Amino acid sequence: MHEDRTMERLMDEDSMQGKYLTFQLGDETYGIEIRYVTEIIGMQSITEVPDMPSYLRGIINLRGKIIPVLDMRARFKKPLQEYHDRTCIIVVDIREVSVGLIVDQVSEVLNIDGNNIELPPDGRTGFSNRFINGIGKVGEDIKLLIDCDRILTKEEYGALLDS
Amino acid sequence: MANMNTDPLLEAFLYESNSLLEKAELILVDCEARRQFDEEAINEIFRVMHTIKGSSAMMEYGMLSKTAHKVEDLFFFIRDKDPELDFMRLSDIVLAVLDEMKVEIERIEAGEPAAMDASDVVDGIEAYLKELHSSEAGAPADLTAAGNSSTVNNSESVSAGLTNSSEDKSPAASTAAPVFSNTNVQMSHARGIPDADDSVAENAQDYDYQVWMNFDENCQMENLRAFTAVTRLEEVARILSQEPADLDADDVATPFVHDNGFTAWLDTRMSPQELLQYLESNVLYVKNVEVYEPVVRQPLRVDSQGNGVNSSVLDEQMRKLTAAERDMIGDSEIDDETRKLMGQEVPAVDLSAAASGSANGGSVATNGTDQKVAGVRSLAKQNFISVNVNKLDMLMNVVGELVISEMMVINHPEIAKLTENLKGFEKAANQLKKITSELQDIVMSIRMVPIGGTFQSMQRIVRDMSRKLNKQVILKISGEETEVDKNVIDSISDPLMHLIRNSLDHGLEPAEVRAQVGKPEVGTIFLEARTEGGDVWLTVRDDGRGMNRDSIIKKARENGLIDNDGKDLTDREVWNYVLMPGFSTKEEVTEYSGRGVGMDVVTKNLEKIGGKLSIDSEPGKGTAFQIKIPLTLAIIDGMEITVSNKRYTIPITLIREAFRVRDEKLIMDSDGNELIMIRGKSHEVIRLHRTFDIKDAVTDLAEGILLVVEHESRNVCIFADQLVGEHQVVVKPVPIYLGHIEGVTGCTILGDGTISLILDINGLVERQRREGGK
Repeated sequence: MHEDRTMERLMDEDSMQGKYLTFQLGDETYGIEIRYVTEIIGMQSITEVPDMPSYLRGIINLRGKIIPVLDMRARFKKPLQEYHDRTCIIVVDIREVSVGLIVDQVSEVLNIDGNNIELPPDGRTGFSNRFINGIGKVGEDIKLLIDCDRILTKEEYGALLDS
Repeated sequence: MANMNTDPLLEAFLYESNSLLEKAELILVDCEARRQFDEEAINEIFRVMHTIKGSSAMMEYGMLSKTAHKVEDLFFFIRDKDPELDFMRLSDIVLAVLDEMKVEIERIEAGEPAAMDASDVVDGIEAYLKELHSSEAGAPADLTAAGNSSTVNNSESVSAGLTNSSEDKSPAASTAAPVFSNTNVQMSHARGIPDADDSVAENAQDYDYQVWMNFDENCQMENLRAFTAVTRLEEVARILSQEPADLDADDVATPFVHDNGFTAWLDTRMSPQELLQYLESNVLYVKNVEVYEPVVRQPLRVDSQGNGVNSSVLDEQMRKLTAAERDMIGDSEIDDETRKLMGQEVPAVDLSAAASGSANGGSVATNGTDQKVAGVRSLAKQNFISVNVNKLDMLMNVVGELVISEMMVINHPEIAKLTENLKGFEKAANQLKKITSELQDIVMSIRMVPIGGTFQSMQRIVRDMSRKLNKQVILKISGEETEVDKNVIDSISDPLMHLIRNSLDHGLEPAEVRAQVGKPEVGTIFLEARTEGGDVWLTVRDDGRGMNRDSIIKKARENGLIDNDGKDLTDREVWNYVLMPGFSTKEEVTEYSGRGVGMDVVTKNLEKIGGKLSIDSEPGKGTAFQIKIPLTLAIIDGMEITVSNKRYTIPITLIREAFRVRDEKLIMDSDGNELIMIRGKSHEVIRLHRTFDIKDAVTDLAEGILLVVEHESRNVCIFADQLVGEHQVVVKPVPIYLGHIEGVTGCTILGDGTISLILDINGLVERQRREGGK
């Protein structure tokens, strides 16, 4: 199954280039490269797992596959909010690791041209700078583009991920 | 793992060949150990090679086919002539060939072009065959001769019941009288060697039997029927020649077989009765089968009508066993011609009593073989298919999804709103539940594989090593029926191999040393599997010299792993040094050098499946390596418990009892640990809500439930809110991303799709010890 997806991905690499899935967290809109995204599912019952950092909400059963879910609000140290009926889990597949990302709501898939992406400002000024690897401009709107690899890195458990 | 894009035919071929080669290897090693190649084993190897020969030829792997053919030849000879065998030599040769073939198959599996160069091994076989041949030539008692004499003894008793077939074609004598016939006696067919051409005549000089058969009038495609017969015969015999020679030529062969039947000259070890039975039961549409004794070693003179048979042939050879069918035909219509022919040589005395006696005897014997053959065949054709593991994973996921959907349908809020009587719906829903849960059980059990196969493959390693090191070793296997997940099977084979090598190389002393210390000269390695406490335990144990504490400590110091004399280390800590990467690989001086070669590989491999290795060793007595494989994907019986709204599973095997606290005595020790007295013994209480920091849980011991669970020598009590029930669960690993969670060994998906964590008692106790009573 996995291989199939990789194949698809290779074939669709071109068409996926520059495409971002955007989602809302509070007032900001974030974008995630669509090639990482495998699916979007509604909120599920999450099984808590002991000893995890607060943003690691637990695990869910994705059709028999058990995957961890990260609360993006918690990850970006934003004030938490009750989950509601628009809360979604974006399932991403990053370096062979499947994780779910809990977001306020999913917006749309956008084409963001390379010319319209700026590097994030230097210096760790913003709360989420280290997760952002670019700022996309779509018309007047600003989309914060997420560095997927970094979301996964658990500084607390960094070594474990590499193992 | 085979990738999914391969041609299914190729995949089947690879799977089949691999398992056949494994089977052959097993038989060889086994026979060698027993110093006896029994007939069944030889037949089996012969059959294996025959199959591989056929299938690889079909897949156009010529070299593979050729090699298999050579081995087949070798075993044919062995089967046929039963020569004196040097078992070691034979299995050496054949195992070498098997290895070559395995390499080739691996190559094919990896998608590389077939590049087998088997000339060496083939030469080896040929040389050996020649040797056998020459020694055979010297042997006085020829098998065929023996066979002849025994049949000759019966010959007088079988002349009765000679009848003629109703569809006699041309009343001419055959080259040889049928020895056995399944139906009518057909003495006067124009079959045999119709053209008596040179090649046939030549072949005719040295064969065991001539088989003739024809097929049902309306079976059609006679050439194909004959081809089936050839294939069948090839399994048990060597076909020297056949008539018609080219069965592929439809337009010629079909009418020929239809009119004249099919004839083959062959060598076989089967008795004529067996051959007859075999053909009857294995070839479709056979109408008549006849088996003839060989024509004596003088050229036959048969004219085109098939007349003019050398009468001495008949004289010597003409005999027939009355088969059961004789009764059906009755022995009335004896063809005049036949009678005339027969009459000259064999007096037509009715010896039916004797004949039927021998027929009975024959049939009893045949039945025995038949069953045996049937048994072997049913083994070969086990009701197994090979399935790509990925497909099983997919299936399992889909079933999981199905279960969830089912829950969603049955518990749909809109249904809950309905006020009418829902009895019918409930009944149907229950049925659905039953089926889905059954389905789930089945899917989960499909992945489980008994560990026996992996264990058996270790026999070969022991064999090879023991020969190389010149040590006599027995590998004793137990618990091979223990089932583990397919993935686990794949990952334990290497570690087991390393451990066994280690035991053999370093653990077991040479025979002289063993004799000196009063041990049996033959060393023993035990390979055991068992399920305990939900874990799978594998043990590799030897009765060798055990590990030497001092030399390990010395080595550890040399390697800078410890800087004192190591006196404060426990034995176990010392043994664990051999698991360090590179430990003791540097020099080969001490008796323990080499211990540890590959040991880090073992630990690495085990880590991948979450296994743990522990070592016990006693100087002079032996060493035991214990592998504990966690429940990864194993199916266990679990007890589901809840704490607040969270669900946990404890392996049933660990639970001793469950009870509610009434007036049992609760004690606090100085560290704030709670202890409860049960029947005079104190048990540590582990409150799950504290360990996992769960809110809204029952905190009053009297309101929740206590489970007494096994932990090492002492039991502990787990405190939870309530028991939910017992389920069979498939253990899944916690996502690697989360890392190791102390107190949790895995997780499982419950029937309603929610996840339950499986508790690891050791971990819980560790947690408790570390954190104190909080």
